[in-house]
Amino acid sequence: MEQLSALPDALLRQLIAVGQVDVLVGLPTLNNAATVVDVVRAVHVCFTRDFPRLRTVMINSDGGSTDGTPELIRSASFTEADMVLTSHPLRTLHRIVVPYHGLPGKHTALRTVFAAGELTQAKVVVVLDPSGPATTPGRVTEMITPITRSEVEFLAPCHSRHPRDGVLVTQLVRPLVRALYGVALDEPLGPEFSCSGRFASRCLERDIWDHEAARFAIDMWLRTEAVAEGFAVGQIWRPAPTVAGARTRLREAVQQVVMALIESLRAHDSFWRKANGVVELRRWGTDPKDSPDAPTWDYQALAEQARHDIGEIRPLLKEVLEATLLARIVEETSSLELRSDDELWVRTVYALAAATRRGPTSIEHLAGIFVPLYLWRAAAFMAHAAIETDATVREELESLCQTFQRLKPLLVDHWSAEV
Amino acid sequence: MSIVKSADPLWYKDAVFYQLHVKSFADSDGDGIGDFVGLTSKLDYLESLAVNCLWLQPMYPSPFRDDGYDISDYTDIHPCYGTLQDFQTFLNHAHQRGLRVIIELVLNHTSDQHPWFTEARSSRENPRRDWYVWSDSDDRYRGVRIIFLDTERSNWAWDPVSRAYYWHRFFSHQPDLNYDNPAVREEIWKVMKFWLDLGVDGFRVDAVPYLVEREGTSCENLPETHAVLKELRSRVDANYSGKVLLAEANMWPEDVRPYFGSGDEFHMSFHFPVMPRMFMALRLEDRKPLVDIIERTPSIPDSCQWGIFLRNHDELTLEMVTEVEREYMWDEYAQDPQARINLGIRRRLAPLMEGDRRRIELMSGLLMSLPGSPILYYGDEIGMGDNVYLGDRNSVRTPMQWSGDVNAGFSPADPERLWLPLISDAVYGYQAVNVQSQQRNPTSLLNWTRRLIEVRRSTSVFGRGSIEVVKPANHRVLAFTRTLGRETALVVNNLAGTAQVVELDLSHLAGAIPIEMFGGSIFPRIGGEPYIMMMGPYDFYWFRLRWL
Repeated sequence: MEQLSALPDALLRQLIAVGQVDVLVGLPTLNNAATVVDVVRAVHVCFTRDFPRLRTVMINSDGGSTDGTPELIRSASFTEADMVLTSHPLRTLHRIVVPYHGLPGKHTALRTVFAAGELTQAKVVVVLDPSGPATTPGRVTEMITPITRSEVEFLAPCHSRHPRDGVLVTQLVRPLVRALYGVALDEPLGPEFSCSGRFASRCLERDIWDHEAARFAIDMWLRTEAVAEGFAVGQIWRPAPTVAGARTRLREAVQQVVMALIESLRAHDSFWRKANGVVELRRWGTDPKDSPDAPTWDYQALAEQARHDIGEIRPLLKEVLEATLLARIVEETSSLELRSDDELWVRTVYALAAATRRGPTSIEHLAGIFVPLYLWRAAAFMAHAAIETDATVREELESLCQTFQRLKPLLVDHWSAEV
Repeated sequence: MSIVKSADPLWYKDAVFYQLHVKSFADSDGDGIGDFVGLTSKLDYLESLAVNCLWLQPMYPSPFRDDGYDISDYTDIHPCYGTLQDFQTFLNHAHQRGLRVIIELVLNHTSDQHPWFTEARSSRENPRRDWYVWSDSDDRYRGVRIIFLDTERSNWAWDPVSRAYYWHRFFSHQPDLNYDNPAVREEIWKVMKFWLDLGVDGFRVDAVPYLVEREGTSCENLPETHAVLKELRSRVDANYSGKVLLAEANMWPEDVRPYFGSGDEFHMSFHFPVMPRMFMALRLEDRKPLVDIIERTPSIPDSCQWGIFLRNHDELTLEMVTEVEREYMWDEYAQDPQARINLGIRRRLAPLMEGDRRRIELMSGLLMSLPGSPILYYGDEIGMGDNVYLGDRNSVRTPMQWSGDVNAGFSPADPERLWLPLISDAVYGYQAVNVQSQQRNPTSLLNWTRRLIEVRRSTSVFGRGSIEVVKPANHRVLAFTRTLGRETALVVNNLAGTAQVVELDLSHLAGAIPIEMFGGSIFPRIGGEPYIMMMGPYDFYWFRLRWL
C-alpha cells in the first residue's frame, strides 16, 4: 500500500533551499491566531540573540486552520521591542509554513517536523505549543541549550501543579509511567518538548505514526520511547499551562490517553518489564512556582455518573477482571461513601492493562470500559482532596506512586502470562 | 569585446586597479628594498595582467615608522626607492603601456620629522606653529575615538620641545595638520600640483575623515572637512582632466556618500563595509551579510565609483561590523591571536581561504563582479601567503615572489638584507608560489586571474551597471544581475562548499539566452518557470543575457 509521504513537495522544495540546520523549531498549529505571532517572534529573537551562529529554521505544520494562522506566521516580523533585544541577524532566518499531509492530528504534524529534521540533519528539534503559556525568547533558548551541549537528548517540560490539578496525570499517567519505566517524569503528557535529531530520526523508524492511539497522545509515547530506548531524558521547568475550562470531552480524553498508554506498554514491554527502581531526572531552568488554582469540580455528580456507568458495564468487566477484584470494585462503588482505595485502584489498572494482551479484545474497547472506573477514582480523589491540606494531598500522591511501584510485579507477571 | 578608450574621463569606472608597495615589488640595486628601477622592470608583467591602473603606496622620504605613511617630504622620492627621475621614468613607461598610476596623498598628518613640524614645534611663535593642532591641555575634543587601539592611549601627545600637546589621530609620531589654516591648504595643493604636473593620474587620499576638528563632535566627517576636500577637487578639475581622487574613508556607505558630494568631491571611495561581508558570507555559507550591505549602499553620482577590494596593505578591518560579526570573523579567520591587530586580521587572501583554490576563485569572482572598480592587492594573483609573526601589518607586505631563485627573484641582495623576510614555509613559500612557475602553468591561479580580468574588461556592465539582487530560497546562493543600457549580465555564486541546487526567479528576464562568459556555452532560454541551476562547491557563473 502506498504510504503518504510526510514531506509534501512544497515543503521538500523549501527544505532543499534551507539545507543543513543546527536547530529546527516545529510549530504545529490549528487555529492559533490569538497567540501564534508572539511565539514566532520569540523564536526568531531567540535565534538571533542567543544562537546567532547556528543555522536555524522554524517550520509551521498546520492542520487546516480557518482563522488565518498560517498567514499570520508568514507575515510575522520583528517589532521595535524585539530589535532592542537582538543585534542584526548574522544568518538568514528561515521560516516555512506548510499544511501537513495525512490523518488529521498532532501526530501527523509531528511526523512532518521529524521528517524535516532528518532531512536537514538538525541536531536539535524543538516542538512548541502555539497556545501554551507565554513563550519568551529565553524559554525557547532553555529548550535548546541543553541539547546543543549534548547534556540530554530529550527534554520534557515540567511545572508546578496544584495538588488537585491534573487528576488524570496524578492518578494514572504519572505513577504508572514512573513505576513501569523507572523514571520520575513529572509530566508524561505535554505538547512541548525538545529532542536531539538522533531521537527524531529514531522515532521516524517506528510504526507508531499510523496507530489510532498516536493521534491523541503521541507526546506521551515520545517520552516513554525516549526512556525505553535509552536516550538521556531530562525535564525543564516551564510556567504552568492555563487550566482548561469545562471538560466537555473528558471521557474521550481519558480513553485516548489510556489507549496511548497501552500502545506504549506494548511497544516497550521488553524494557519496562525489566526496569527496576525509580531514577530522578535532571532538571533545567527554574521553577516559576506559579501553579494556578485547581479547578472546581462537581465530583458528586461525577461519582454518580461513574457509579451508574459501572453498573451498566458490569457484564463487560466480568469478562476481563478476576471475580474477587470485581467484587471489591462493586463494593467500593456501591458504597454511599465516596472513596477509592489506592491498592484496589492500582490492581484495577494493572488488570485491565494485562487484559489488553488477551485474545481479540480491542484496546479501544478496554479503554472504553476503563473510563467509568477512572471517573470514580477521580471523583473520590477530588472529594478527599477537598477536605485535606495541600501538603497531605501531596504526600498521598507520592504514596500512590509507591503503590504503583510496589505492585508492578503483578502486571509483569500477568503481562508475561498473557502472551 | 569592447575596450574603454583611455581618453574617457570616467576611465576609473571600468578600471581594474593593482595596489603595490614599491619597497616590496622589485629591488634593482641590491639594498634589499624595492625601487622604481625594479618596478619599471616589472611593467611588462603588470601589463600582461591586464590591470589598468597602479596604486603605489607612499614612496616619499620618511623615517618609516608607519611604513611610509609618516611623510617627511611631500615632493621627493625616498632615496631607497630611487630618485625623482627614476619615478618619472617609471611613470612614462607605465603610460606607454596604457597603465595609469595613482599615488598616495597623506593629507591628514605628516611625520614628526617633517620640516614643517620641526619648525612648528621649535617655538610657539614660529610661522608654521599653526600648521598643526596644539593645545595646552589634553582635554580638548574629549571622547573622540582612538584609531590605533593597540598602540595609542590618547589622541594627544606631549611635545617636550614646545611644551604643549599636539593632536594625532594615528600614531603619536604623526601629528595632524591644521586644515583650518589656509596656508596648509595652499601648501597641500602645491604638493598635488607637483605630482600632477609630473603626470600622475590621481591620488589615493589617506584618512580623509579626520582633517578638521571641532569641539563637541566626533571630529570625523565634519562639514568643514568636506569643504576642504571640495576645494582641492575644484582646483584639480580646473587645471587637469582625467585625474582621479580616491578617498579612504572607513565608514558605513551612507556616511561615505557625502564624500562624493554632487560629483564635486571624490571621484571614488573605498567601500569598506562590503569587504568583510564577502568573507563573512563565504564562511557562513549565507548571502545575507552581502545582500544587506548591497541594499544599504546608497546611489552615488553617475561620475562616481566605489572601490572594492578583498585585501590591502592594512589589516582586514572589522571596524564596520557589529560586535557579533567581529567575534565571528575572529573565531573563523583568526584563531591564532597573532593574526589579530587593532580591530582586524593581518592575513592575506590565500591563507584566509586556507589555500583553497576554489574559494580564492570565488572571492576573486565576487571582487570582479560586484558594483565598483576592483582593486587587486599585489601577490594575491599568485596566492601569496603571509607571516603573522612580523610586526605591525608587515605580515601582508612581504617581498613579491617572482621565482624560486634566491630571494624569490625580488632582490640580488644577501637574504639577510631584505627589508622583510620572504615567505618561505612549505605551502606558501616562494619556492612553491611564484610568478615564474605560474606563468608556465596554463592552469595556474595567475593565468586564471588574468583570464578573469580579461572577461571583466570585456564589458562595461560590471564597472558601470546597476545591480539587482535575485533572492532564491536557497540562501547559499548569491545571485544578481548587472545592467547597463541594453546589456545585462547574470552572476550566480554558490557560497557553499557543498553542491547546491537553486531555483532562480528570472521571469522578468524571460526570453533571454544566458551565455556563459568564460567559455561561451549556451544555457537554456529563461522562461516564466523558476530557472533551476545545479552548482558545484564554490562555483560561480557569469552569464551575458542575450535576447535573440
